[in-house]
Amino acid sequence: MIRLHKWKLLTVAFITNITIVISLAVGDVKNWGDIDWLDIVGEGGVCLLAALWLGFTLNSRPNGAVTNLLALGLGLIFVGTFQDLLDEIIAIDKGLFLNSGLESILMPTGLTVLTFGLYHWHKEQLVFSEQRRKREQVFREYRLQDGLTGLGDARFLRRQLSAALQRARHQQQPLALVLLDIDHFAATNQRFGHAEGDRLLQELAELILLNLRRTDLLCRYAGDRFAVVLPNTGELMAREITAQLSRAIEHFAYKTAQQGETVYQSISAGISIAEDDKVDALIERATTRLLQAKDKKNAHSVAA
Amino acid sequence: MTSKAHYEIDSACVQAHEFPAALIDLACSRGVDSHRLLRGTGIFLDDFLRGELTLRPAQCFALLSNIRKILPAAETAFLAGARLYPGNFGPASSALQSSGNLLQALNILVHYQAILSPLLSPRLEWHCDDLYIYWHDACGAGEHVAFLTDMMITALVNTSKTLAGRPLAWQFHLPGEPAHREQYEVHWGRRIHTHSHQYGMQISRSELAHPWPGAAVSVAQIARSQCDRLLQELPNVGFVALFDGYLRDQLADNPSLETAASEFGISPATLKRKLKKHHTSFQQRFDLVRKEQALFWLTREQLPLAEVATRLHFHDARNLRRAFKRWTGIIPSQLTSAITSAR
Repeated sequence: MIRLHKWKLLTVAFITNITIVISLAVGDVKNWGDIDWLDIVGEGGVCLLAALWLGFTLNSRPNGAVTNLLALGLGLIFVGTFQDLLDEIIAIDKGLFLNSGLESILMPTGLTVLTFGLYHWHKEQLVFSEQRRKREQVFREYRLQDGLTGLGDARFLRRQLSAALQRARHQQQPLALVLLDIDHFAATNQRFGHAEGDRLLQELAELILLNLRRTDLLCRYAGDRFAVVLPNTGELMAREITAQLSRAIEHFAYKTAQQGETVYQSISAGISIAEDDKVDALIERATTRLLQAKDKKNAHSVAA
Repeated sequence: MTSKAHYEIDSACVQAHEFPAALIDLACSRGVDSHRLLRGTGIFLDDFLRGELTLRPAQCFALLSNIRKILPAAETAFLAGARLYPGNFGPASSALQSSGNLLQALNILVHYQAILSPLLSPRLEWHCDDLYIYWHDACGAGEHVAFLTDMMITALVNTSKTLAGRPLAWQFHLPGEPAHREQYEVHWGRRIHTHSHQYGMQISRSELAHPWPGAAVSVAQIARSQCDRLLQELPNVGFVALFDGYLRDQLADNPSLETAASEFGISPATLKRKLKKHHTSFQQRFDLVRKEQALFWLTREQLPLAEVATRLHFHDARNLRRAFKRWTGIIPSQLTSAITSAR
């Protein structure tokens, strides 16, 4: 963060220093007895919070126009509150601009710029939300996110699934859950290394997302197992979507990072359709079908 | 017993490029900053990469703490386990790789535990048609026992699958209801029994002698004798595992801190200190060993409660029931009903 936003931080620090120097030049430091400690705590706290907001904002954002607006707004607010704090310690003539004028200009300007920045941030967020739609639908919880693929994890799935089940029951619409498992993923890990396996999972997640509808939700269940929630989808449609996913993955020519070798994958899938039951039962049924499909495939390859 | 060389939490005995490498490798592949990973462990990346670094178990535990803090995801233990074998364990890796069947692989794991699994020690228990494998603290893993057990079981499941060329019909026992059931299901398989009050793996005896395609008799023999030579100079059992083993052997004689101390040739105060250094105590070890034994007698051998009480030197069944409740949180009758309903 420090390197990326070096100039913004330096500017804020520089201006803060100038206000200290000017205040000291035109005013006198108060005696201990004249200082109102309650004001110091109150205004100091506001100043500290403004600095914290500035820190959090810069720390979580890349460079760009929206970041500049947010930083400018928060920076102005910080300098304003800091000046407010300073004149609790340094006595400045009431008539001087520095005492009252500076703060009454800085604060409203800062707030206006911040509001403008927040508005653009909101526009920016809408763009990202649309992109992340098939990963989170209308619910976001960063603590339930899988660090590797950016998809929701199993707890996120359970939560979303239970909401989707309720909605499906309410609207009398079918709901399907598909569990996908990559065939021989352990062997791929063994052959190309686990870093390659991780990258493959990331790319497969993207590929699956591309093949889903706007209302569908993809989660990473665990390991190489993905879960897709398909609202308003009956058995036939779920089969069709699963077949599409399966074909897309079979045609995906993954290239390893080291040698650029091409690796083809296939998946096994288990579909379960909601029948007036609980989340766990639905997952359980899909797991059973998935493992049956896997066994069938293995028996086939042994026979062949 | 004391003549058998053992290692403690502060003995330099773990080759950094062997067991800890799986953890470091996992962290590096997830883009973890190496300074953050090795902070407070006393390990330097350059020394580690040179491949001649020997760690104390305490350093391994510090490394584990860091990894668990940086990668708190539920799958971390499973991923680390999947990377462990064949690994870079020298002749022990070759011995494992060239085993002719599951039984041989397990024997290698038990025999060369100090190399292949320095922090947890596997124990085999035979009963009727099945073999049970338990993983015990070897040298003071403390809060990391559950993480390490998940890791070691995953390592064994994966290796046996690779070497056999097909998934084996393992069954698993978990102490309670896991927070992330899906991880166990995907990485281990579906045959998971929860609320077993201890961690364990179970496999049918018929699977043990089934020949594996990668078997190489002479390679295995040479690798084994190389390992034997290595272990002649190195301690081959962790202090906590050694102590548990002593308690298990002496259960019939109702061991105490004093008798144990004299058996180990040290004063009771020194033994107490030594156990404390390993984040445990005599009572904790004794309770654990008795709990495991009681579970075995009650669930597998179906012995009556009074008989178990006598064998464990409890005054009567009521006292055992109270102790059992303290060990497991339930009374023995709930246990047997839970087990039978699971069948």
